[in-house]
Amino acid sequence: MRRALLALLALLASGAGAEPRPAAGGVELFRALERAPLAAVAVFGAPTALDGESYAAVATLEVVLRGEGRVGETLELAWEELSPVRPVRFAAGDRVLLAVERLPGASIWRQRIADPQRLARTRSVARSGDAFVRSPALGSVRLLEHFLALPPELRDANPGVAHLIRLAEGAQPVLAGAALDRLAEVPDLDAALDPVSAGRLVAVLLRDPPSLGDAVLRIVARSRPSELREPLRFRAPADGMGPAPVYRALAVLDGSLDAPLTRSLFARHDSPAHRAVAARHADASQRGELARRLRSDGSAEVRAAAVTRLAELDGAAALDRLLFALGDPDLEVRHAAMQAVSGLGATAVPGLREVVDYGTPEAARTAVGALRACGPEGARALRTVANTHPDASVRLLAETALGGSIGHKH
Amino acid sequence: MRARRFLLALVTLGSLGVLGAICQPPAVVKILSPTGDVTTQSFTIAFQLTGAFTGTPEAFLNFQPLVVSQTGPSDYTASISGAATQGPGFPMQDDNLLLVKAVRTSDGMTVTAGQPFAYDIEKARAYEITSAGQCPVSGPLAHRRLGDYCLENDDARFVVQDVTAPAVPTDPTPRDFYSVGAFGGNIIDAVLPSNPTTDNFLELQAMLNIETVANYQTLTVVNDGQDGTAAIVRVCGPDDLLDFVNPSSAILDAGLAVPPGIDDNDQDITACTTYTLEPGDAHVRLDTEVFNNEAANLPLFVGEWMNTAGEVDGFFKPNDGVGEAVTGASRGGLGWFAERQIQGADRFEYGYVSPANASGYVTISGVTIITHAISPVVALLGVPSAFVVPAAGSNTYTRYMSVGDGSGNQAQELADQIFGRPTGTVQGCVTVGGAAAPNATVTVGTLAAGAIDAVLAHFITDASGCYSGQVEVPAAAGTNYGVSAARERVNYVGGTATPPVTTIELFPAGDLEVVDFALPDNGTVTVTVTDETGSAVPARITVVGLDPSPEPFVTATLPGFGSVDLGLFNDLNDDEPFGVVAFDYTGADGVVTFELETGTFHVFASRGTEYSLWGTTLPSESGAVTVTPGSVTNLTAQIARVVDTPGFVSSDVHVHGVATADSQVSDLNRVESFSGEGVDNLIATDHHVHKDYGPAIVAEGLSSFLASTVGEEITTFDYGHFNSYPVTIDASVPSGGSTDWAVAAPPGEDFPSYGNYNLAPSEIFTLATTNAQSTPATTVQINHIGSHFSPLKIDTSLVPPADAMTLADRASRRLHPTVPANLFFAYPALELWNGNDRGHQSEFLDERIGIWMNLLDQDIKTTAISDTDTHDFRNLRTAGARSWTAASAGMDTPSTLDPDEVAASVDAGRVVGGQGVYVQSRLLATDGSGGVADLTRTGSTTVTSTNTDVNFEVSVSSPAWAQWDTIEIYSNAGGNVSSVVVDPLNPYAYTATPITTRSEGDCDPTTTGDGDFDITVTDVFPAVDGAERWEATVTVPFTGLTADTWFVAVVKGTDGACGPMFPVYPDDLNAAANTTLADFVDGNVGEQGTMALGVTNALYYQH
Repeated sequence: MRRALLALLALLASGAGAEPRPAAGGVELFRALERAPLAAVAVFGAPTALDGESYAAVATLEVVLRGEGRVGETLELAWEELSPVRPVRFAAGDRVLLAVERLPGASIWRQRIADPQRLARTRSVARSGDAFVRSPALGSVRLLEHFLALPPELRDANPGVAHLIRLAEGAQPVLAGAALDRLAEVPDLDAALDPVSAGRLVAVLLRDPPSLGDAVLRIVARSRPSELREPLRFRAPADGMGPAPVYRALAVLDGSLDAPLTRSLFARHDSPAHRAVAARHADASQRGELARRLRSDGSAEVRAAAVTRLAELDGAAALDRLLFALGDPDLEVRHAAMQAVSGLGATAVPGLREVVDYGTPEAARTAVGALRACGPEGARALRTVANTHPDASVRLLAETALGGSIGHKH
Repeated sequence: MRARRFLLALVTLGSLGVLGAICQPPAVVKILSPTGDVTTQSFTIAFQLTGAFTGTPEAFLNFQPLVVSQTGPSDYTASISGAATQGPGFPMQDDNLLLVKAVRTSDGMTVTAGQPFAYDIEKARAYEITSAGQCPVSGPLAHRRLGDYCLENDDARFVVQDVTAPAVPTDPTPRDFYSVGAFGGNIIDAVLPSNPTTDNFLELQAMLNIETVANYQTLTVVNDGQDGTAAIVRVCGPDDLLDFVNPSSAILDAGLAVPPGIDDNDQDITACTTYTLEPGDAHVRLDTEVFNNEAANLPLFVGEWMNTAGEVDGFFKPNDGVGEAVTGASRGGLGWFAERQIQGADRFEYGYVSPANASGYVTISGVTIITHAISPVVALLGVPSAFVVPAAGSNTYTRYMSVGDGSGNQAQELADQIFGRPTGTVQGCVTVGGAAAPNATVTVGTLAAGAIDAVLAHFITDASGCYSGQVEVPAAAGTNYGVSAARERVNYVGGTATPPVTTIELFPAGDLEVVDFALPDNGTVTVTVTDETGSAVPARITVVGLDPSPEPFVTATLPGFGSVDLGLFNDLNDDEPFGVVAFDYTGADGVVTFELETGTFHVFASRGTEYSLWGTTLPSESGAVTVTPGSVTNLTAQIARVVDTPGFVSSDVHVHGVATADSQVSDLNRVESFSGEGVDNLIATDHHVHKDYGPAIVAEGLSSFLASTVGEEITTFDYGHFNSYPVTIDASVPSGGSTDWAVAAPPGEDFPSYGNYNLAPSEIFTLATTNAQSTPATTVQINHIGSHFSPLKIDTSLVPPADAMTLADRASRRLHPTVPANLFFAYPALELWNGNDRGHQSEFLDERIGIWMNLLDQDIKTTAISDTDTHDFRNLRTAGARSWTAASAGMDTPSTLDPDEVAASVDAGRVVGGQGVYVQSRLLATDGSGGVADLTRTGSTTVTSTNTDVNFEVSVSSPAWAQWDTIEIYSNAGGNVSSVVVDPLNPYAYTATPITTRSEGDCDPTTTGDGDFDITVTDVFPAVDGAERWEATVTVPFTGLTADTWFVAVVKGTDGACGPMFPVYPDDLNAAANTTLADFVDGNVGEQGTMALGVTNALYYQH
C-alpha cells in the first residue's frame, strides 16, 4: 500500500512541474570530513532500493583523504531519500567527495539489511546522507587532503586557515561555502590569518554567489580579524569608488566609518549599496545626514539602514524620526522602523498609539507590530486598539498581536 | 521466553560447531559477563580464555563484531565502540546473544561460547498497535485505533495516527475530516502511562506554509527502542491544503494583503516529521525536515496547527476558554492543563515548547497556529519568513510536546530545560480551614507595586494540598518574586478582595523557597429540588451576589508569544456572568452539594423557560443565606412546570462539547446542564464530529429528563456553518463520519490549481443528506446566518436571491469559479437566533430576521431556528434560546420524542423559539369554514379563507420571572415589505419592522386596560411558592388579502418597563446599578440584563 502510494506520488509529482533535482549535499561538510571514520572521494556503482525510502550502492574509493580506507577498496554505502519525488542522489559513475561513517544503529536498518554480516559492513554517508560534494575538482581535493592531513590543532591555526581560505576562493560554491562555515569556527582567526590569506579572504567577499560574500561578512563581524584591515583598505579608496562589500566589511571591522569616507559613500548617487553602507555605519557626526536620508533617499535599502542607525545612535531621542519611518512606502524600511521602535519599550507606546490612531493605514499597521514588543503598556494599548479601532485590518492585526482569536468564532 | 532463548543459543552454538568444541576441555572460552539478564544501561562484556589459543579472540553481539580489549593474560572485555562497557544503542535488542570465538592452538578449531541475555532496562518503545491491549489510551478525545503507532516509555505515551487512516480500501484518498486532523501521521493522543484514561489531546499537525500542512503518506518506525536509546517514528509526505482553515480569506476580509506565497500555494516541497521519545522523558521531540525540490530557495512560514481541544485551560491563549498566565517575558512555552472542573487524579497537562525565540501564535477557529521563528503579526505585515529552505536542500525545525500529571507547571519547566535557564525550587502546601487543599492554584510571578505583573509559574496542589516545581531564577540577586494562592469557592487569604502576595527571593540557581498558604475555611451548601409533585427534578442552583474573591488578571508580555490579559489563577473567558457568584446543577435526584466562599448570598433554583423560579427571596423563605467558616447550609427548593407545551418538545439544536475543536465542556457537564435547564432534546452538533450523549445521559440516570440526538456542525471556514441532524456515527473513524465539504484529493493535489474546490452550499446540502451517515430524516440548517450570506455576498432581497461574488471572491473561498452560477441555495432552516444574551438577541432582530422575511416574501418557506450554539459551561450559555418542535401525540417528552420527527417538524416549519416565553400562533379563516392553520404536528400551516379575511391569533405564556409586554406581527399582507437593509452598500444583512404591534402598556399585569391587551397571571400550583404564569392571547384581523400571505409573531419584554430575566438568564446586568446584594433582587428594571423574547414560525394564508 505504502509503495503504491509512493509510486503514485512520484508519478504525480513528476508531471506536476519542473524536474526535481537530487539532494544538493554539502551539509556540515567539514565537521563530518574531520570526524567521520573515513573521508574520501569515491565512484559510485548503480544504486538499488532497499525499501521505499532507502538505497544502497557499491562505491570504489578513488582518493582517501583521511581515515580507514584504501584506494581501490569498495564499500557498500546506504542512505535514505526522504523526499520521494527527488531523484536518487547518487547514480552509477558519480564521483563524490564524502564523509563515511557507520550505519546508524536504528532498528529500521536491521529490517532493511537482514543479513547481519552485510549490516556490519555497510556504511553510510554522514549527516544523514548529506555530507558530500559531487564532482569535486582535483585541486580542491588536494587542498582538502592537505587540510585533513593537518593535526586538528593546526587546522585552526595558520596552515589550516590558509587551506580553508584557498578553498573558499577557488572551490565550487558548495565546497567554498562549507570551507567558510569551517572558517567561522576557528577560535582565534585573527591570530591564524597571514597577509596572503587575508587578501584572498577579501577576494572571496566579491565572489559569486553573493552568499559567499555574506558568509565572509559574518566572519568579519564575529572575529574582527585586524589582518583584514590592510587588504580591505587597499580595495576601498577614500573616494568611495571601491566595491560596496569591501566598505561594508571595513565598517564592520572598525565598528563605524569615518566621516569623510561616509560622505564619499553617501555621494555615490549611482549606488544604493554604497549609500546603505554609509547609512548603516555612519558615526554620530552624521545624524543630520541620516535624518535627511531617512526622509528622502530614493533607496529603501538606504532608508532602512538610516533608521536602524539612528535608533542605535540616539535611542528614544530619535523616536519621532522612527515613528515617521513606520509610514514609509517600503516594507523594508517599515520593518526596520518597527524593530527599532520596539526596542524602546514603554517609552514608545504613546507615540505608537498616535500613529495607530492618526497615521496612514500602513503606518498604523506597522505601529501595531511595534506595540506587540513594547511590554505590558504596549499590550494594554493593543487591547484598546483591537476593540475600538475603526479599521478592520488594524483590529485584526492587534488581535493577532495579542495572540487572540481571528476568523469566525463559533 | 527462557526456553526460547536457550533453544536459540543451542541452535546457534550447534550451527557453529561449538558443541563439538566443548568436548575438548583443555581450552575453554568462558563468558564472565553478562551471565544473565542485564538491568543496567551500561554493562561489562567480559570473557576469559583458559588454555592455549591462537590469535585474538573475536566477540559478536547479535552477530555484530565487537572491539575486543585484553585486560589480563587471559581476560578480555568487548564493546561495539571499544569502550570499557557496552551501553545502549546498536546492536542491543530486547533479547541478545553474545558470542565469543577463539582459535584453539592444538587443532586450529574455533571454540565458541555463547550467552543469551535480555536487556531489561527502562526503554522507550515505538510499535504498531496490533491488539486492543496495546498502548492503552482512553478519555474524552482518545482516538487510538488498531494500526496506529505507539510511542511510549514509563513516563509518557503518545499515539501517532496511521498514515492510511481511516482504512477504507476502496477510497484512494482516505481522510477523516476532523479539525486539524484530516491527514494521518500526526500525534492524536497523549497520556501518562500511569493514568491512561485522561486523553484530552486532539491533534498536532506540522504547518509548512500557513495554509499547507504535511499530508504524510509513509510512516516508518525508525527505531523501535529495543536498543535502549530513543524510540523514533518518522512520517513523510507532500504539502497539501489544510482545508479546515483558510487564513488568507480572513486576512483579505480584514483588508490586509496576504503574505506572499501562502494562499492555496502548491509548492514542490515534501516534509518528514520525526517523533523522538527518549527513555525517561515525558516529552517527545518533533523535527520536521522540509525538502525543497524547486529551483530557488523558499522562505516558508512553518510551524504548527495545534488543537488540544479537550477539557483544558491554557496558558497565553485568550478568548477560548484559556486562562492562567504562567510565564512572563521570553518564556517560550505554551501549556494546556485540566480545567477547573477536573479534580485530583483525573488531572493532566500538555506542554509545547518552540526553541526558536521569535515564534508566535494566534488562534483561528479554536485552533492554535504557532509560527516558527516569526510572529504572526509580523508575517501579516509582509515580512518574509526567516525559515528558508535552500533549493534542492532541506531545512529542519524543532519543537517539543510534553504530557504531565496536571500539577500545572510542566510546560514552563520544559521550556526552562530546553532554553537552559537556571532555576530554583518553589514549594509549599495550601490549607483551607487548616485542612489540606488539593486543586488549589499557586502562582509565582514578578512584582510591580506589590502585585504580580507577569506570571512565571503556576502550580496545582496535589492530593495532600502541596506543590513543588522549578521556576527560573532572576538574573541577579535582589529581585523579588511574588507568590499567591487561590482555590475555587474559597476566600483569599485574609478574606480580602485581592489575593495577598508573599514575597520571595529565589536566587541563586538551586535555591529553595517554601511558601505555605492558609486559606480561610469556607462553607457548604446543599440544595434539594423537587417539582410540583414533590418528585426530584434536575435543576440549576444559582448563587447571586457580589463575588468575594474576584479573579485578578495580569497583562502578560511574551516576546514571541504575544501579549495578553490573563487571569492570575483562572480562565477569564468562560466565567460566570456578573452577579452570579457560583452555580451548579443537581443530578437526577435533585440534590447538589457545593462549597461556597463565606459571605451573604441569595440562592435560586430554576429549570429553564417552562419552570417557576425558587429563591431565598420568596416570602416563604427566610431570606439571604450567610455562609460562615465551616457552616453547613441545607436548602429545600420546589419549582413547578408552569408553562405546558403540549404537542411540542424543546430542543437545543446547536450544542458543542469536548469533542469539538473549540469547546472544553465534558459530557457530564453537558447532560447535567441541559437536563437542569429543562431542555428535552440535546442535539450534539460539534464541528466535524458525530457525537452521542446517550451513554452519558444513561450513566447519570437522566433518561426521563433529557434525550439526545446525533448531529454535526458542517464547518466551512469562511462561507458558513451548517447543522445536519439526525445522523449516525461511523465508529471506525475518530470524527464519527464527518461531512467532508472540502472534498479529498490525491495526496499533494488538494489545491484549486488542480481543479479541486470546496463544495458550494447546494452541494454541501446534497452531501449532508445523502452521505453514509445521513438518514432519510436528516435535515440541514444554515447556522448564524450572517456568516453565510455576507461572505458569499448573497442578497436575499433579489428575486431570486443571488450572490455578487467575483471570480476573485470565489477563489478566496476555494469555490469553483463558475459552478454553480448562483451560490444561493434554499436550505430547509435558518438559525436566526443563537445564544443567550442581549447581543445575541440583537443579532437576531437587528441583522438576520429580515433575511428570513426576504425569503418568505418569495415563498421560499424556510424555518426559523432558535438555539444557543453553546461552547462553554461557566458562562451559562446553555441557558439560552431554544426551539420547540411539533410532536405527535404521546411523543412530546424526553422519553418518547423521536429525533426523526424533530427534523421533520423543522423541515415543515412547525417550530417556535424562545427564551423565557413560549409563543404559539394560529391563523383562522373568517369565512365560516372553520379553517385554521397552526404549527402542530397534525395541523396545516396553511389556510384559505374565501372572504380574503383571516385572524392571526398569538398565544403567549411564561413563568412570572420572564416579563414581556409587546407582541410584534410581521407579514407581507397587502404587499408590505418587512425587511430593512442594514447597510445598503453591503445588502447581506437585514433587520425588519413589524406590520403592526400590540402593547400591554406598562409590563405590569396588575394594571389593566392600559394597553392593547392585558396579561393574566395564573397561580398554577398554589402550593408551590412562585409558581405563577403570565399568559395572554391576542388576535389581529387581516382583511382584504389579495395574495398568498405569511404571518410571524415576535414577543418581547421592553427595556425599562419589564425586568430582565436575572438570574435565570443572568447576562448583561448593569454592574454599576448593582453594588449590593439587595440591588440584584430588586427587579432590575432599566438595568439592562437579558429580556424575554419569543418567535413563531410562519403561518400562511393561501389566496
